[in-house]
Parts: sequence; structure tokens; C-alpha cells
Amino acid sequence: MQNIRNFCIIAHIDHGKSTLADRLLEITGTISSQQAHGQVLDNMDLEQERGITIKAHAVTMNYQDPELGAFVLNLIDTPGHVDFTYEVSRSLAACEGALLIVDASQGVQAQTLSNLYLALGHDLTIIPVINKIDLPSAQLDVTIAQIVDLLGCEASEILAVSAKQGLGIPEVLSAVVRRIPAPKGDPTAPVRALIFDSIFDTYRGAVPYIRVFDGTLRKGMPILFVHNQKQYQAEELGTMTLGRRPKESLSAGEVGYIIPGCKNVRETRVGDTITGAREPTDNPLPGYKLVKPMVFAGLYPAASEDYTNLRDSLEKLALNDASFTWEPETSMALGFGFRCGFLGLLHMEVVQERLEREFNLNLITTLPTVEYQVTLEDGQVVLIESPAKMPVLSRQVTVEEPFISAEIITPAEYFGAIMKLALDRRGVYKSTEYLEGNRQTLHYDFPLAEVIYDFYDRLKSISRGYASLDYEFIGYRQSDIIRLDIMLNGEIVDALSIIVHKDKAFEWGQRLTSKLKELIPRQLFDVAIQASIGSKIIARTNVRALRKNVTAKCYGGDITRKRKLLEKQREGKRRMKQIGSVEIPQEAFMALLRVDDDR
Amino acid sequence: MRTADSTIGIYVHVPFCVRRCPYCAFYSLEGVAPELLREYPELLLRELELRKNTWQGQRVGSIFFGGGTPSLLNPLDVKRLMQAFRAEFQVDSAAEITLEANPGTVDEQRLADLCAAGINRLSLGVQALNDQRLIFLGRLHNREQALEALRFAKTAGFLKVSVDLMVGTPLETTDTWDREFAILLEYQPDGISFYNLTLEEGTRLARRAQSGEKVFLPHDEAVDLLLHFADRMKAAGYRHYEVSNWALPGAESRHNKHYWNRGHYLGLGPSAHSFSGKRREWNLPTLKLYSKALKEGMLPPNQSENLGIEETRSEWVYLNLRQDEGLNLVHFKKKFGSWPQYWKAMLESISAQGLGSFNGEIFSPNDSGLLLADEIAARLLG
Ligand SMILES: Nc1nc2c(ncn2[C@@H]2O[C@H](COP(=O)(O)OP(=O)(O)O)[C@@H](O)[C@H]2O)c(=O)[nH]1
Ligand code: SF4
Repeated sequence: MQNIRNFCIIAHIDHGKSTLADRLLEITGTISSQQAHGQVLDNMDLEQERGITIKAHAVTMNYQDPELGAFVLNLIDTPGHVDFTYEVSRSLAACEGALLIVDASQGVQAQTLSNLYLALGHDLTIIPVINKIDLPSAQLDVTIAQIVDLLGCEASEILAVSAKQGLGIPEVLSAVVRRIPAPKGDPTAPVRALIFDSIFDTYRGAVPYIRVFDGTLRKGMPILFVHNQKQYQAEELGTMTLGRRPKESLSAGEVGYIIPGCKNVRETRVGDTITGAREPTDNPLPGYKLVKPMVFAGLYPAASEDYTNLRDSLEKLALNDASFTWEPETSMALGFGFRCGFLGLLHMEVVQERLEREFNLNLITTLPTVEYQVTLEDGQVVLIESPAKMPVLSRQVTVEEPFISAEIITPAEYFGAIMKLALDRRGVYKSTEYLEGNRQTLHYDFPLAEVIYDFYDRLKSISRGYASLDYEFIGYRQSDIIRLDIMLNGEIVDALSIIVHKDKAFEWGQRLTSKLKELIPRQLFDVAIQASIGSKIIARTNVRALRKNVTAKCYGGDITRKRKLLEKQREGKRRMKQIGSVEIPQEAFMALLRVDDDR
Repeated sequence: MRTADSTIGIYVHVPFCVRRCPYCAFYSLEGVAPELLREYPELLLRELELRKNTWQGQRVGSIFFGGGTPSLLNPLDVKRLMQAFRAEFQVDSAAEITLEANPGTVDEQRLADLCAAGINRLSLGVQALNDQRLIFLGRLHNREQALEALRFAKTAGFLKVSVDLMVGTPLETTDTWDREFAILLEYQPDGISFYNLTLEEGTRLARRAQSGEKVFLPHDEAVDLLLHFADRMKAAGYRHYEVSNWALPGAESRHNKHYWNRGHYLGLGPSAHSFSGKRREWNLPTLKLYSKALKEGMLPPNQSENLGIEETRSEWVYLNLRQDEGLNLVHFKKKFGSWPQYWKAMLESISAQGLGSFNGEIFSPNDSGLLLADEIAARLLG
């Protein structure tokens, strides 16, 4: 155990986390330098493109220190978005230390801070590393001063590297083994292993990634998932290099994978503790939370014949993603589809993109909503996560909406702007804590519905990226919640209904109608767009009928060309959703999400 | 039943213009080299020689010299071509023989000669009776020359004279047009075509539009203008027989109607299309290769497409919707079998919208409906 080091890398996006990870893998001979070009840790396309790491992974490296001898280093990757805070916290819980990367030309940035706070919250030993010192624009002194200020460390403790050119990498490894403490634990105690991630393998089923804290897991032994209360057998276990490397056992302090032979990642929940079934621990590892979807939206195939394909794809996707839920739903406007649950909007976008890309589906997504708790007239309490199911409200019906408690860390200068944003989002102010370095932590309670849309983006934009957000669900509270319907030519389009707070209904009615006016093209008929609450119209506008769509000349030489143009036009129409006599572009449903852009 | 008549049409493309207009996408070469112009009729005759077998013995109902600027042809060459057509095919005695002429390229004598060569319908590219707009459109002529050409055309002896106008530059209002219009009507043209200026890719006008210049009248203003013309034309006794075309009753262009009713036609010259019912083929728009091939005794390079039932159906629907006679569901059924159920309700609501009339069998678009022909076609064809 003394020669094991478990650590992660935390950084603001683009500061070089992946590049540095590749260098470490390369210098320890875990991968060849050719392989390094692919940036091994982020292995989903999508992650690379969006510059975010969604799934945490782990790699074991062998390192020979010139003075201290052989070490086993486990590098654990962490996702970097507020939707996945819980996953990040489990990954951090598996480590004893973290490399904090700061770009020499950019200095300390917002995510540097938010990730640092998370790491400090887990008592990790921080090794500050300044990257990109090769850049002409590198400002080494300024960055050193910032870090000293931030961590209260000595300038001499800060490493300076160029991950790209491979400068200073041995020093990083040397610091890892010297500064980060070895894991502690009792290899003879009852097994306690933390699941910090879980992937799905088509052939082997769920494969949890684990950090063993106590005891020794052995191949073939019966195991128990403490929170899930399911018993399995350790069919295979081992460490991760580029692929899986099976071993006979994993002991306290080690990091690796285990194949329990379960068909579904839902049984191998992140944060759960694995123990031995014969000699179970009565002290599971702390911090387990069953992450539940917080945001719900309808997913519909643009072409109805894709329904089965969509269902199969969702099924496959759910195998891989424990926090994603789905069930069939029907919309008058969009036909047969599914109501899906996500951790947050980013998660939703990721799922949507994967479906479109990996499964080649063309989707229509409805406006996302949270889950409301509604007490009906007869006293029955139901959970409603779809506007269409929201009953017409009467005095006898009460609605409670989910609230979160949010922690916003911000440099003091953005305080005012953030207060304003919070007020606009129905935030309930709790308290302020003053931190060193002229920063503050603001504590607020928010209705979740006000945070899911673009709160995070707006927070980032008004604080020029510096404010960080962390939140957790705290319960339901009664609110004046109503359903707002959108009517096109007098017909309610169920897929466009939203659930909003009464005070915001008018504003939303205005925004949705005017956005729809932009999105719906002029067509053969006038399109009346109205927003209504029950039978009361609160906003209206219309799209005037198209008056000319014809090519002027059509003689012998034009007939073929014109027919092809017409085919294109028909193709365009087929990509529209026909609702009553109105044609709505598919993009309109999602584009409504971005109504805030115009403000 | 209104279907293509059994005669064929002949189209002769003349790919020369003194100067290219900035909006035009037709195949045509700028600047007129006398040798090319002299040699060109020869090439046409060679092409005819190579193609005639397919069309042997057909009756010809109309011939159209289009361009480009066919009025640049020597009337004697027109005569030679006409003689060749008469020798190879049965040209109806009442056949409509049209030639497109641009003001500025014709004088009194030339028009008389063209008439003597067998042309009985002259289509005159007037475009506007306003010098500012003629400059914007890059035309050769001014208003005076246009009126002069019109006068000569009326006295040269043609059976029909029709006039092309270009609508939709940003310089127009109903007022400016009304004045031009009043003058134009004094000449009593048999037909008037209003072509809405459109953006054709690759043209100079398209580039100007891309660079942000306002080169078109906005959608609603253009429509207002076109509907204003419609009222004026109707008052003057003209029939709106196709999207862009008006004529005094009985003076409609037979050749053009033949296209719209999917009649068969033989096209000669680079870029010219031929259509034989199931197949459309066209010479590539290159005079160089056209000329080279024919000089070697071969057919010019061409492309073709075979029309399946789906293509035939689309063409039939959209072409009928471009005509005031409209879409006849009984005819459709005879040709293609039953029509989709939703058409009836759709055509009813389109009529209720004020775009035409529908009696359960025939949908006839009105002036507003004709301007939406493509939209309606796309809707019907789904
Ligand atoms: N000049 C220079 N560029 C670097 C260095 N390290 C990373 N980069 C570049 O910075 C960008 C972001 O790096 P990446 O490792 O993907 O950042 P991540 O988002 O933190 O994983 C990439 O274009 C890298 O090539 C470095 O040391 N010097
Ligand atoms: S004269 Fe006619 S064919 Fe020639 S360029 Fe102008 S518009 Fe085109």
C-alpha cells in the first residue's frame, strides 16, 4: 500500500488536463506516444468535441522512482459539469491527491476554483502545476502569485511544465509519489470498495470502477452491493491500463474494475459500497446518494416510423447510463414518443446528441420541465413531470415544486449582478460567507425549475466565468404553479405547453409567442399564435400568410430543374411537423429553449 | 380532356447576346462574333439532321426561336431553318412561329424580313418603359428604343406581338408602373408577361445581393405590385393564363402552353431540352463542344433523365397549378389513378383562403393562387 498513489487532475477547461494525462501515461510506458495523440482519457467523441469529460475513467500506471523505487499510480479522471457534481465527488473520494493545472497564459479561472474547492472538500493534497510554459504569452510570475494567494503555499511548491512539449513531466511524477500520501486501509478488514464509476460492456454487462478502502476483493468471491442490497460474484477483477488487466485480487488502497455479472448499470450505482457477502461490512463508505433525474422532456422521433428504433436505442443507452430514465408517452401533436428523465440540461443534450449520432435518429425534444408534486382535489398526491398531465388548477389542487439549495462562490465584484439574477429566478437568499481572496459564498434556495434552463450559463456570463455553482435537492415547497398552453390557430399544441410560476406566466407567454413567430415560416394560411392559461388568452401574435412562392419562368428547359426544386421544397416540408394545418419546423421545439438569448 | 396535343413543338436556342444582363442565367455568350453567328445556323441544321429520325413524320404545332437573343440571327438564316423544318416535318399551316427579339437589335426592315421568313409571333423583351430601371437591369435599350421596336413590330405584319416585362427591382412602385402601363396598353400587345425578378445562382445580381445590396423589392411589395397588375390587366381584357403570362383571349402562346401541358418537343442548340413523354434530354450548355461534336458528325454532348411515375405526377401537378385552368382531379385520376384523400379538404381550405375556386373536381387558382403555385404543389405532393 505504501507504494500506491491515487490522484486526479483538476483544471479549468482547455488548461491541458488531457494533454498532461497523456504525457503521464506515455512517460510511464502505459501507452505509446502514438496512442497518446488520441488523448486516451476522454474516449467518447462527444466529450472531445464539447471539451467536457462526462464519464470518469481510471488508469493504472507503473512508475519507477529513481530514489524511492517502484510505484503504482492510479489516475482517476473526473467529469467537469454541474450536472455531474455527484459523480465528480465520488471520483474525488477515491483519491488522496490532485494535480491542479493552471494555464500559464490564462491564470486561475473559474473552474480552477470550483474544482479546487471540491477537491479541498475531500481533503485532497493539492499539487499545483502551471502548464503551457512554452507559450510566448505565458505569464509565469503572475500565475505563481495567483496560486500562492489561492493555496497559501510556497512558490517553490509549484511545478512548471509544458504538457505539449513534455517538459517537467518527471518532476510531476516525483511530486506525486513524494507529496501525495499513500492510501490508508486495512487489507484484512471486511471489504469496503467505493464505486466511483460504472460503464456498460456489451458482452460482460455492468463494469463498476472501484477504489478498495479496506479488505481484499478476490476473484470468485461473493460480493454484496450495500445500498442496492444485491448479491453477485466477482467474476473478474483487475486494473485498467489501456484495456482491462485481470488480477486475482484487489486490496485496500488499490483502484481497478470488477465484473459482477449484472446486466444493468443501475445495479452498480456510483457511490455504492461493495463488500464481501460472507463477511459484510457494517460500516459502508459515506456519501452515497441515489442520483435521480431532475429534468424531464419528451423525446419524439421526427418520423413516426422511427419509434421502435428510438425505443431500442433508449434501451441500449439506459444500460450505460444509470441516471437516465424513460417511459412511453403520447402527444397529440407529436405522436408516440418517450418522456425521459435527465440529471440536467447538459445531460439531456448529451443523450440527445448520442441518440442522433450513434443511433442515427432524428429527434424532436420538447421543453424540459421538473417534477411537480400535485395534491389533487380528492387528496391524492401525484408526481407530474409533463405539462400535458398537469391538471387544470382549481383552489382545491395544490402544487409543490422541487427546491434546491445552491452554493455560489464568486469574487465580490459580481455579487450585485448575481443577486439580481437570483431575484429574477425566485431565489430565496440564505446567507453569505466571506472567503479569503475577496471571494464570497452565497447561499440561496431556488426552485429547481428556475435553475435548469440557462441559469448556469447566465451565472457564468455575468461573472465572466468566475462564479461557480453547486447545488443539491432539498425538498418540495408549495408554489403558485400553473400550466401555460400554446395554441396555434385555436388548437392547443400539447407538446408546447409549459409549467410556470404564475408571476412569470405573462412574460413566458410573450416570449414563447414571439419566438414562435420567428420560428414558424410564413405558409399558405395565417397562423394565429396564442398563449393561454385555461381559457384566458394572455398573449397573442400571428404569422401572416405567405403570398408568393412560385418561380417566374417555367419553359421547356426549366421543367426538370423546377421539379427538382420542388422536391427540395417537399423535403423541407417533410422535416416540418404538421399540427392541424400548421407546419412547425422541428427545430422550433428545441429553439424555444433558447428564448432567453433575446433578452 | 386537356392534355398535350399530339403535335410537337420545336425549340431553337440562340446563345448570343450583345451584353449579358446581370440577372440572367440562360446560356448565352456575350459579344457577338460575326463568324460564330454565321456558322451557327449550319450547326443547328446538322443537329436537326442527326435528330430528325426520332421525330420523323411528326406534326409540328409551334416553333420557338429563343435565347439568348434570336433577333441577332440573319432573317435569311431563319428562313433556311424554317424551310428545313417544313421539309422534315409536317408543320401545321396554323403553326405558331415565335421569335424573341430585343429592342436595340432590330429595326423596321429586320422585323419585316423576319416576318417574311415565316415568323408570325414576336416576343419583345421590353422589360420596362423607364430608363432608370432599364439601366439597373443592364439592358441595351432605353425607353424610346423599346417603344420604337413595339411600333415596328405592330406594323411588320406579325399575327401576334407579345411583350416581356421585368417586375421586382427596388425602384418600382405602382405609380411609376401605371404610367408605363398606360402607354404600353396603347399598343395593344396580344400578350404581356410579367417576370418577377428572381435570384439565380451565379449571376452578377446574386453576387450583389450576397454583398448586401438591396436588389429586390420586398416580398409583400412585390406581391402587391403583381396583384395590382392583375387588376389592370383584367380591366384591359387580358386573361391570366399562367403565373407570369397574360394574353387577350385566343392569343395565348401555343408553344408555351404546350410545355405546361407536357407536350413533346424537340430542342436544338446548346442547353436546349427535348422531351418525348418518358424522357427528357438536354444538350450541355457549351457552344464549343456543341460545335466540335457536330463538325465531327456526332450528336453534341447531352444529359438525360427518364421520368418515372412519381416524376411525371409531380410535373403534372405543379405545371397545372401554374395555369388558370388549374388542377383537374378527374384528369389526374385518369392518368395516375386515385388522388390522395386529403387533397379535397386541402383544396377546399385553399379556396376558402381566397386563392382560387374548387368545385370538387377542378381547382382553379386565381391571381393570388397562381403566385403560390409552388407552395400549393409542395403541400399537395406532401
Ligand atoms: N502550447 C501548449 N499547448 C498546450 C499545452 N498543453 C495543452 N495544450 C493545448 O491546449 C489545448 C487544451 O488541452 P487539453 O489537454 O485538451 O485540455 P483539457 O480541456 O484541460 O483536457 C489543446 O489544444 C492542447 O494541445 C502546453 O503545454 N503548451
Ligand atoms: S438579353 Fe435575354 S438572354 Fe441575353 S442576357 Fe439579357 S436576359 Fe439573358
